[in-house]
Amino acid sequence: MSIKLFDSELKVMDVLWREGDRTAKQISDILKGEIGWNMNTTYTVIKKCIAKGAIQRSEPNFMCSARIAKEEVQAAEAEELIGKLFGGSPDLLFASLLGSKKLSDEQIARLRQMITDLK
Amino acid sequence: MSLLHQSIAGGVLIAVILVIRSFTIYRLPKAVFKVLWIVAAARLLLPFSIPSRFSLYSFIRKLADSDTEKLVSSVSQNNTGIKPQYAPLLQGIFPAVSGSAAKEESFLSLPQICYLAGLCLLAACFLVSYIRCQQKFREAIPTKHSAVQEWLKEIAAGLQKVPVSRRRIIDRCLKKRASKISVRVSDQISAPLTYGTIFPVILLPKRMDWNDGRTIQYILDHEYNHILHFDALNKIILAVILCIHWFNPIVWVMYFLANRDIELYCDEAVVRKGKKETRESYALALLHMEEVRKLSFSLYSYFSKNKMEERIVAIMKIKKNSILSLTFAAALVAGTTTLFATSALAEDSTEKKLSKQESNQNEITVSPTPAPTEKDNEKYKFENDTESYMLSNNQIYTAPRYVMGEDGLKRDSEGNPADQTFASPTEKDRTYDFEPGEEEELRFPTHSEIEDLDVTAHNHWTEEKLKQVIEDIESGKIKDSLVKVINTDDGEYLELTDQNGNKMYGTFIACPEEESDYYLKEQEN
Repeated sequence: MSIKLFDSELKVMDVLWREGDRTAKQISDILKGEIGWNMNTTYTVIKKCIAKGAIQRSEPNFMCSARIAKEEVQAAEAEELIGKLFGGSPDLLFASLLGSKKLSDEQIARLRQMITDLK
Repeated sequence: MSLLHQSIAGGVLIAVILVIRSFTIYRLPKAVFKVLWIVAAARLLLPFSIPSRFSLYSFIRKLADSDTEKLVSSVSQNNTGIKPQYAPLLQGIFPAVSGSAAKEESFLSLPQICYLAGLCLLAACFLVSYIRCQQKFREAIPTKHSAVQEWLKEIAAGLQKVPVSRRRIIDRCLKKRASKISVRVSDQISAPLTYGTIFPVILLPKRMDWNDGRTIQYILDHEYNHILHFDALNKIILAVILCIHWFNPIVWVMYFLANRDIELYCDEAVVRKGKKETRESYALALLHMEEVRKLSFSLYSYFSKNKMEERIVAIMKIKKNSILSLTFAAALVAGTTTLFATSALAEDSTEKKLSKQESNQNEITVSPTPAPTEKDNEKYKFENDTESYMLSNNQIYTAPRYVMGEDGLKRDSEGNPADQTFASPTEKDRTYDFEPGEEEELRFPTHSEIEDLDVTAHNHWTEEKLKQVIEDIESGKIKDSLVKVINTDDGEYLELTDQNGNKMYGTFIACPEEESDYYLKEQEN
């Protein structure tokens, strides 16, 4: 069985693989030092891992343990943000370099030609 | 100013900007559009505006005003001889909310509900997507990529070099903020972006060509300009404007175009920084990023081709600013702003203090004033402290109370000079000479005259009401030519003539002896 995880989720899993079982609080402290995540962010990511079945949670203190081995994990593909809500336009709310709509090959080729023409 | 007025005025301004933009987007520095959008945003957001003699709305108002004058003069002609009588009526209508406005108020509830529902829905959409995105962005991981580290060092070094001169202080503040930049990588986004206003973060997608140092450089420069321009905040402001004016289609156009122009402005800043060849390599870098991105999303690839095309052409046509283009740009911005972003200039100094709302209200109340006909059957009713005016459709208008100032001019309750447009008494009118002896026609009202009148018209007045009438005569509100004192066997009647020639009679009853002196004194004077 293999689970698709995002980099953020992999970061949390890394901690568990490296350090063994830890409480959510401990994971949060470690990640705060390593990559500057705040507690809420870490907790959200842990919850996502639990939902995907990568982490098992046990009481007390929200003890987390890895349910899968490092080798079983695949990198997840980037998913389109907001997507459904705004017709896929994170560029409308955040200063995004490119729009959320993709160009076709022909369109890219045509624009490339245009650059040469305008040079 | 009501929201609708604001939206319409803003819409006119946006329409003008759209025209300017479509003709000059490739020719003028992008700062022009940035300023114009800011002006439009201010017009849409701020409930007040700066009055200007050169405003488009001043011209419109002048037109409207001349129409009103025509109306008033035609009305006066209808009632030759009793012209001044009409004046208080007009005064009664003008300050009060006109019939149409009153209607609006009572029917507004449903549109209001629709408006609020739309606003909440749109705001909720924005909020949900904003919070979701923010959440994902926070999960990004700091990068140690060499190109990024070098760029950050460069920025830091650049900040050191900024000279501490007065002109640069604002610039320095901006750059200090920029020194807090962190660069992170996320595998959950497909294009580089910037978020965070106070602690700006540049996010790079994991899936991009990390070996292409120059492209990374361009991306970071572009995003750095977003940070310097506070674009994270600007985008939120644009979203707020859209939420407030969601019913206005042209505001939607503004929303999308202003968002595009934010990018164009940053493109321009990056290209201007480099040499002439930068244009081409920057445009190619943008396209290359699209290509790399495309690999992961082969599913849906429809596209707003205009957007990218416009951007590429804009990049390729960036030139060094010439004095000519700068002058033209400045003139364009100044002209558009004064013409379309300002409001009508109020007529006199008193009105200047009024908010635009009130002046608008005047504009509205002017037009629906019907030219009264004989059928209208207006009546005066004198009640306690105010003069009311009743139309045949049972709407009651109340005239403002004026008092005589020390300078002999009418003042309203706040001591401001009364609007002199109507019923301004001439010197002759203002001195009241009450001499019943001069009246030639001393007679009883005939039986038929009394019959024709409404009961309220010839009832007995209390002492206060009579005093009121006398005061109104003195202050010029009721012209003395329209008043007669008629001596009858029963005592004295005061006869008032309205503009239709209808006569009303009042008499003074049940007054104690000493109080009746008041009236007699008036006669002696």
